[in-house]
Amino acid sequence: MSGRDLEVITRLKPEAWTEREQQAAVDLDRLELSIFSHKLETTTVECQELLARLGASTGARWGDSGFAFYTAQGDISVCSTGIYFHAFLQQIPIKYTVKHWTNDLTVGVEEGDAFFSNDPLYGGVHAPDMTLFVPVFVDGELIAWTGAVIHTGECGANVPGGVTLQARSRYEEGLHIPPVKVASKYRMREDVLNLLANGVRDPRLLLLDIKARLAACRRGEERLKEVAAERGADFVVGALRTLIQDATDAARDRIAALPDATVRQVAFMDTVGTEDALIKLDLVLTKKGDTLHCDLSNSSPEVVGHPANSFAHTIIGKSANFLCSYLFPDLPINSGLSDVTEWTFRQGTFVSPSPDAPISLAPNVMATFNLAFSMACAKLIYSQIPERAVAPWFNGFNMPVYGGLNQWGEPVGDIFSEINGGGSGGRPTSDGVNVAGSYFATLSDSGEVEIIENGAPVLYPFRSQFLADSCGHGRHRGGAGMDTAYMVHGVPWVLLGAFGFGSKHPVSLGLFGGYASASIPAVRRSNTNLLELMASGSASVPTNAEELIRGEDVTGTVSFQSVSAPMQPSATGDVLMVATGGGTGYGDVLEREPASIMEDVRWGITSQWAARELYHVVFDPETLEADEAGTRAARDAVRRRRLERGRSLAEFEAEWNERRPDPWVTRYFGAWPNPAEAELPAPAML
Amino acid sequence: MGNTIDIDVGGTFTDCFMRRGSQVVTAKVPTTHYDLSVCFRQAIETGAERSGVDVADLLSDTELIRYSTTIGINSLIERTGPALGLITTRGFEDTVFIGRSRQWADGIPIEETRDLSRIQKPVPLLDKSMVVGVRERVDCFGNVLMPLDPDDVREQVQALVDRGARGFVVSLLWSFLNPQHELEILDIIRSEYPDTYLGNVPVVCSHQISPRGGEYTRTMTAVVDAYTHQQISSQLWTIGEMVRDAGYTKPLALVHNNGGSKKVARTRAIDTHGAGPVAGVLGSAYLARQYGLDRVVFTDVGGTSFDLGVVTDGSVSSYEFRPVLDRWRVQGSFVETRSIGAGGGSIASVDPSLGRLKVGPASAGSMPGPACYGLGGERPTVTDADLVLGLIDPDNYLGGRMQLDVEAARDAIEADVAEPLGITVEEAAWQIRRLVDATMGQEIFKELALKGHDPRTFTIFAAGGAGATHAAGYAEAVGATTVMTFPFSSVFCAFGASTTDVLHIYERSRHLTVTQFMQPGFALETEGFNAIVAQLLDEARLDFELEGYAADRLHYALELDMRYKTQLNQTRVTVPKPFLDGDDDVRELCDVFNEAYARQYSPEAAFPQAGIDIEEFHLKVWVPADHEPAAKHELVPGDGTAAKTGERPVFWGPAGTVATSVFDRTRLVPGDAFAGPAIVESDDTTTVVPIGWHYRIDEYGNGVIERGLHGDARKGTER
Repeated sequence: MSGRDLEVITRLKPEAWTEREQQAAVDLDRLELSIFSHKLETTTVECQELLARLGASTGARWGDSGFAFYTAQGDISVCSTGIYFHAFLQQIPIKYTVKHWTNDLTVGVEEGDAFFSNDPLYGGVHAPDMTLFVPVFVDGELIAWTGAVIHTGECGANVPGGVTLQARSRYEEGLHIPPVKVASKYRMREDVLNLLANGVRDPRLLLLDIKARLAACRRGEERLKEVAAERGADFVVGALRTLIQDATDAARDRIAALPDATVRQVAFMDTVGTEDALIKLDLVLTKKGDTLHCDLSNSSPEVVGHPANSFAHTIIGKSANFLCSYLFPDLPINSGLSDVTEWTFRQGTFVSPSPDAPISLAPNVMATFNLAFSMACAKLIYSQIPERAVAPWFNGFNMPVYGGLNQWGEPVGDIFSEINGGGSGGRPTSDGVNVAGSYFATLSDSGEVEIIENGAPVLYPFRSQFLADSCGHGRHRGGAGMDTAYMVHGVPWVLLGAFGFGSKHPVSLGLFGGYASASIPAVRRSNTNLLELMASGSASVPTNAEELIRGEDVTGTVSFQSVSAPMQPSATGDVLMVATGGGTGYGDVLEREPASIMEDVRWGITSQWAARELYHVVFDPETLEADEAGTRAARDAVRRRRLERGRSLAEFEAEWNERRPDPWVTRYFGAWPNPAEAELPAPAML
Repeated sequence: MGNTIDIDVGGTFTDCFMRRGSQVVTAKVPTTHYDLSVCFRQAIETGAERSGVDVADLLSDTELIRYSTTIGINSLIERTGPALGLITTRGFEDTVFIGRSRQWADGIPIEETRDLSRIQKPVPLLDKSMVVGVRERVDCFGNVLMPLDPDDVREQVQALVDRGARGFVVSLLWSFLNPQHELEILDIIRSEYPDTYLGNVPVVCSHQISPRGGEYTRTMTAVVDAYTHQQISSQLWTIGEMVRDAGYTKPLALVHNNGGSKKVARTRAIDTHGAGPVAGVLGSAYLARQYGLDRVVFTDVGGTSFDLGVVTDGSVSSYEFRPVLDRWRVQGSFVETRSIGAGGGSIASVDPSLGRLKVGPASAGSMPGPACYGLGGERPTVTDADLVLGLIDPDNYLGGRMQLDVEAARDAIEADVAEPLGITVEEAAWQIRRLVDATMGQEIFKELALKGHDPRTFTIFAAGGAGATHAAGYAEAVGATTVMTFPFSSVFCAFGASTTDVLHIYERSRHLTVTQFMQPGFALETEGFNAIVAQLLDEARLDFELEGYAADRLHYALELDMRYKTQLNQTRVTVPKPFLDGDDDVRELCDVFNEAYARQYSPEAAFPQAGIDIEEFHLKVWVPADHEPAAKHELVPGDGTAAKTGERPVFWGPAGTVATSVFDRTRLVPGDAFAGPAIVESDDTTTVVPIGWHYRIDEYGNGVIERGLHGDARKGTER
């Protein structure tokens, strides 16, 4: 047994060049390298497409997947457009396999093998994010790896649907598979598939996703072998490593061109899963020379007994999101981009917890980091590349989850695809995009109601209106989110819940004076008479969340919950509302054109209240015509009031530093206001 | 089949292919975007002139005029359609704006999706105020949960009329399963607003335009159809009048993107989008059958784009996985074609961060065009590279109609590529050509591989102005060994249109379980299955009868979209028997699906125990057109000496500059064969035969470029 390896888990940067790689890269033709990189990029598109076509879970179907080519050492070299951090993190199980299984006589790594892994301690995020990778051999030499990741929405945790809010330790979070051989000699091992399928509620999902990953990996393997057959193994080995070095060099040049600076950014998480509580992520980003140093040591301690933690490697992997999509969107997607970052964590914090800590809400922690990192970077780069300094996308998840038997009597457990209904952030010259997708998955898809209702036992009372004021307001507002409700239908009952954070404290903050996106709760309305109301053709059938919550003709009890809402049995007629948030605002609300605000009101993106009270527009509520002169006067008055409120920094700090939330709110926070100033609690195994 | 005229309107040129008895005449005229009937007329006039008859005589003895047009897509891109009103289920009014979230990425190249700070959704085809919700609801079983209220409908429709609606789309949830409410709304609109009141405004019901699941894509299919309907029908009316006035007495037919053609009156707007490249694929299928080739990839290299389509076993083998028209995802069985931004006008540059050469996707288009056109273009393009290498004759481009400026091409390449990379201009030109050929080749490779084929076994058909110039180059990247070029290569899509059958595909979404997860036996109720097939057959027979075809002339094929349970995406299979009788037939159906899946995605990927569902039915019905077989010529072995017009120096990369023979395509005869390097020139294209390749004219008069040893010219291409 090799066991956990906490050294491998930190190796997200490119490995040093091996002698083999160096020799292979001598005299590498730059034109052939361009052709090779295009070949592999088109192949990643091909393989990503295979994942979507063959996969079965919501993640595969609607874009929560990634595919990449890796060097023999396990460094990512060419990656598909999609979820970058998954592909980056997959380096770890590959490196683990290289280190521990290559020379192990009982395991070994041979042509025709495939390895599966989903354990966060071996490089994963949380149990539902499952990975499969295959070695590529030419003439007996391991020259590369291909790998594919899909979020499979059921992993045998203590509740269905993959993400448990209640886990007290990792041992309640479902399957934990370290790198294990699932295929050899190009055949899947039925005994191992049986073992994996045995641990989950919906084995079809698990197995079809595994087969989809394998088909994609095999396709990549085949392509790489074709290139090797034509141009030789040396070329492939040298080219894969050179592509990484190219990215490293280019990224370093870009960073070096930025001014040296230190930017501080805090971000907060408002839940530990089943309880509301405030947790702080503190990022100090220092740009010096050609590196970006991220220091997270002043972050809150590990949350003991709750799954609101995430391992340091996931945080590092998460930085790929901003690096690939915003900072270096024209550079190759590979580990060379990570080469510009340096990291400091304090062991025992919620961003670097003890190995046995529960972590199923790792995505929340990673999102909190993403918020801080993207805001800090935006501030850092604004003076040089202002067009890339954009306000954050909706960083939450607001992910409804279901599990049980569907209307066709089949076992199901997964997430709903409305997770991909978030808005993007405001930009220097334009608003964010309404309902643009998930911030972490470039090409995600919120699906179609008929397709979802066909497989999940729910009826959507509505899924249409952009949620008014879901976005952060500003000179350029964020894109709007999406308003959705799920009513149990076609079955006596099913488990419904939701996953996310930010119902009390916004998950996403605005930039340069823009507003944060709205805090959104999950709302349950149980025992409704919606079906009866519909059958009667009543005009009072609600068509958005507000009508459903306030509707007087609708029976049943309303309860507001955190969007981190544990699954609970829900009967026919019970309704769960989980809206998706909007992107955040960019710049001062007083600078937004009144006509644009009126257009937003007409579209239902901005409420009349917000137009009046936040934007200070004077308008006719009937015609929605703005009074330009009136607005100018109202805004001038607001500016005057702002000046009147102004105080010196010393005065402000004196008052501000006296304030603090109720101690109950900060019970998991650590030392207030600086967690770094106190000892950390000892880790516990529960 | 009597005389035919086929016309294909492209972005730059309108092509015409006429068959009169055994005579074939082609013509190419500039596309007149301001009025497409003008280039339509000019194409016919030019063709008439070339065949030595006057237009009236030509048209009066023409049996059929077929047309593939871009009118529809133009009105989408230019947003010149009418103000439409959309009537949908209340609570779902924003479906078309939400656009499955990723609407911003639909219809743009993958490389443009990466920079998230720049994304934008397309400007919607209709304003928010033009979408109304009506109270009604049907569920996934087709049950009505909420009845439709006619008064509510009247009120909402009136609101749309008041806001200026000039057309209606009715699209309700689950209407493909239970269309009752859509039909009631249709009745209400028709009775409330007779034609005399609104004029001839279209009312499009989503279940009629596409009875398939997925409300966003179905709605957009109906919206795009209604949006483009008026412009298409008025243009077609003008063209119809024009040809009738000129003496044509038969109906005008349109090429459809599903791979057939139908009379204008039986055509929906949505059927016509993207028909041009589809016609190219169909023409390839026709030629593949003529040659007995079972694997062909059609390629078309134009000024700005590179299109490709796949033909296996002599027929169109695949449909779009996610059809997108302009920026809108729609539904339909559209013959699959791919388009990437690579062509003669693709711009070459050196990536400043990586120090690597890049070609495309930016294009100089036809204005200003390549630097060598001398029309103001300063950036080096693929055409400039071809010119600098000596592959294109500056004095004989487009048959000498355009003089090219070699110095301008050299200067552009020098400044933007050679100098930054520290190499010679010739070497830079060579690298540009290598890279664009590899890009196109790898795109072909990916598309073929994605369908489970071995790309190296395919024959490449080269069409378009620059197809024959680059085909051997991209064939290298594919690993293919045979390229075919045709005298009508530059009007290939118009030729393709001439090969189409009258065809339509009748479709229906139905969720049927065939087998259950890990359970033996079959769960499919064959009566239900057979009833759907019978319904589709009835629909087809009636439709074709209205077009004038008796049932005994019809050919049928039933295709199903099937999937393993819980998968979203489906695999299309052709069903051995349309009606199922007993377990053996169901077992055969499962076998067909499992085998198709394993073939396409690898045996390891198949998972029969997961359970199998049927999701969609597609009944393909066609009346085969009787085509004149192509004339075969005797092969007279020769080396083309009689057609050789001279030699010129060409830079062939590692081989350096080599004196290269130049041949006149029109003087080559069947049986002529010679080794590369060679250049074969004709009025509309230059065929490049690289070192290590051979060229010959086969028994049909077509040019074959083959890699490797000198083929036996007498052997012909037929297998």
